[in-house]
Amino acid sequence: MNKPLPQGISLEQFNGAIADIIRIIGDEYVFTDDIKELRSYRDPYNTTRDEDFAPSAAVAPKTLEEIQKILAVANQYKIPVWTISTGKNFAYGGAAPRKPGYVVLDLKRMNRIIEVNEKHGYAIVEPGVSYYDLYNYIQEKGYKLWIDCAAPAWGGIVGNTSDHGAGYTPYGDHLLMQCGMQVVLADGTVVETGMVGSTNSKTGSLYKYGQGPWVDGLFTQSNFGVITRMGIWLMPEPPGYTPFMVTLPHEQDLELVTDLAQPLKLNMVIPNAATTVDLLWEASMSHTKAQYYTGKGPMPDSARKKLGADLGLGVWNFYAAVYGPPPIMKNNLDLIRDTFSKIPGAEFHYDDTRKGSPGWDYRVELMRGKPNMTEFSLLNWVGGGGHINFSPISAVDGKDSYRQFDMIRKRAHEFDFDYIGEFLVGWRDQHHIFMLMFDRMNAEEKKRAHDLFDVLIDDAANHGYGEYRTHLSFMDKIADSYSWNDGALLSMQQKIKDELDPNGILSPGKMGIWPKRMRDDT
Amino acid sequence: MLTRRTFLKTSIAANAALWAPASLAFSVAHVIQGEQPLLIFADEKSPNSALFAEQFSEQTSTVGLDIGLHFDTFNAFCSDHANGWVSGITRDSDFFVLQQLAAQHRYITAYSAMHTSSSTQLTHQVTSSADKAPLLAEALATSKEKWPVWLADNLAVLNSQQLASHTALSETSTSQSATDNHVLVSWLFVPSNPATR
Repeated sequence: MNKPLPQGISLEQFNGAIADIIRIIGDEYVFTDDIKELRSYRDPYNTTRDEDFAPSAAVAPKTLEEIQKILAVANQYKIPVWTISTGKNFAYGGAAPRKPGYVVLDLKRMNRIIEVNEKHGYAIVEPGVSYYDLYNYIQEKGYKLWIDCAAPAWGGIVGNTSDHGAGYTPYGDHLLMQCGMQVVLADGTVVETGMVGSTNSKTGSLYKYGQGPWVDGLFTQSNFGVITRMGIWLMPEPPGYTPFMVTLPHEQDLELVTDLAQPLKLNMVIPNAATTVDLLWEASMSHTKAQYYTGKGPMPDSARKKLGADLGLGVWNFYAAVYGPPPIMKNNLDLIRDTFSKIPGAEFHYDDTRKGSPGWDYRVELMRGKPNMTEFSLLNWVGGGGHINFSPISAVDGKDSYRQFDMIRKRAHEFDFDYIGEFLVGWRDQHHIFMLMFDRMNAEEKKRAHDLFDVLIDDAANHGYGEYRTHLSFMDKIADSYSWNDGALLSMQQKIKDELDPNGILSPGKMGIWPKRMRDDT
Repeated sequence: MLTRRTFLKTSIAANAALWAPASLAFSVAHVIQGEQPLLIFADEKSPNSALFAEQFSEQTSTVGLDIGLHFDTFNAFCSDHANGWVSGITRDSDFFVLQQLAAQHRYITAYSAMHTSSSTQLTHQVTSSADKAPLLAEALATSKEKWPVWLADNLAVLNSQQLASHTALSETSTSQSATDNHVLVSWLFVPSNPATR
């Protein structure tokens, strides 16, 4: 296969740019060998051709100054660079760029934990710091602080937060808990946001907004700058923690549990990011589909019933936790029990009955911010573990949740896939994650998964649902679905892009935002 | 009760038996000279995986539960052994995670194979270099239920500096009812040759 090159760049120009970058950061951290060095910058789970997202090179600077110099080279040659932090954004494209030939700007080596402040409960980290790194650091130092990690937790804090990721403790809305960032703009200018922008500030990680427009959000899910440092708030270790699970026997119970959870969440009786998880997601933590069903298409109800009975799982399984001094936990748990006991057949579970079950164990860890990788067990459900996530937002409303679930489930079955999903209950919304599992070795199945995803975007838009995050393949289509007032939102984003990055070098196409010079081609 | 454990061991395998069936005639040419540092991963819930690990004589330690707990061991091994190999028979998800870590250490996947078992059928889908893939698939099928033993004995044969990009399929009937996790993956990561950079 010919080496993929950035659009409009000759091999001679490319080699010139790479030589310039080698002079900046040395040969050791400039990767150009497709087989030996660049395979981890591909998307293992893409549903189209592998080469659609193949980079031409990857470069891994260690310092802010090196980034500035690399961007200067990119500007000179008009070479697009695709920024990643730890590159673990699997199901949404991993470390791969939006188009073939981009140079991946890999910030893994920028992995300093700059500060952890126990009194005020925050950390300042560089993009290469993973959830494991920060957790281990806090444990070593003995700080009484919790992190809030994504699942699985090998990803980076900066990357996940800037992609609007979520966790499972009361600090589960990661961008809400972000405070201050350092950004390098395309022209090399370094900007500190929030209070750090003021002279000699001592409150950079304490107050998000400073004076004037709050701009941090502009650098998330976008391509307006390179985030090189971020402040995040950390939860003080509470005096008590009691996780619980409610198994629900019927499909329609999704409506009931959502409506009952909504006021408990809004009033902070349930303080954390709770989850309503379907049977197959839970079962896949310890079992494979073939152990219960070897036919084609989605698992039939008879097999699902046996699976649920064998594993002691509900059709839906609601996870949440209470935190605090024991009297407060008891008070809140009593209220929660009284509330959910209204659902016929609902059963409460705690550590005494569920400990040792992988599905329970990993969620117990996540709801207290302990990183793990167990959720990857999902990949074993069908074998050949490919997956992409379809992630629409729904209201915390029973009828709305069921409508969205039913819409996706019907389409999934029509395309011969299982519905495997969860609702992550936020403050006033739910992130509905449909884990579209396919055999990545099976070309026909990959195409079918791609087609299903494409249809789901249309279905969701027709029902008034938008997605909060998506895979590389569908960024344009979803950006187009935010079409109110003739796409005024995207037009504004493009204007900002053109102003901040006139050569269009930073992550072109991220979330559908293309620079002027590439807009016509897309 | 549903606990899944992963166990692993670090071993210095001094060219453990490199016996190969006649069909794999090229095996002799790939015998490793000298001691080969090895890190072996296996899933103790899987009988086939355990059988593979048993072929390495060193003491086995059970340290399992979550693949994330093995990151430090993996990273330390790769950092400490410039010519080390990492191999295993695991669930697909664990293979994927370790493969990503390996790539960060500039290891390449010299070989991998997906082993799918049904009640009486065992399928091996081998990904290796073009010359080796069909031979490996055939050898695995010929080994019947003992395929993990064959893999352990022939680790050296699996090595390649070529990207594992060619697939070959083999099927065999088995008298053993499938007690394993339906799909397992065997794999070998080796350091890429820096001279070719």
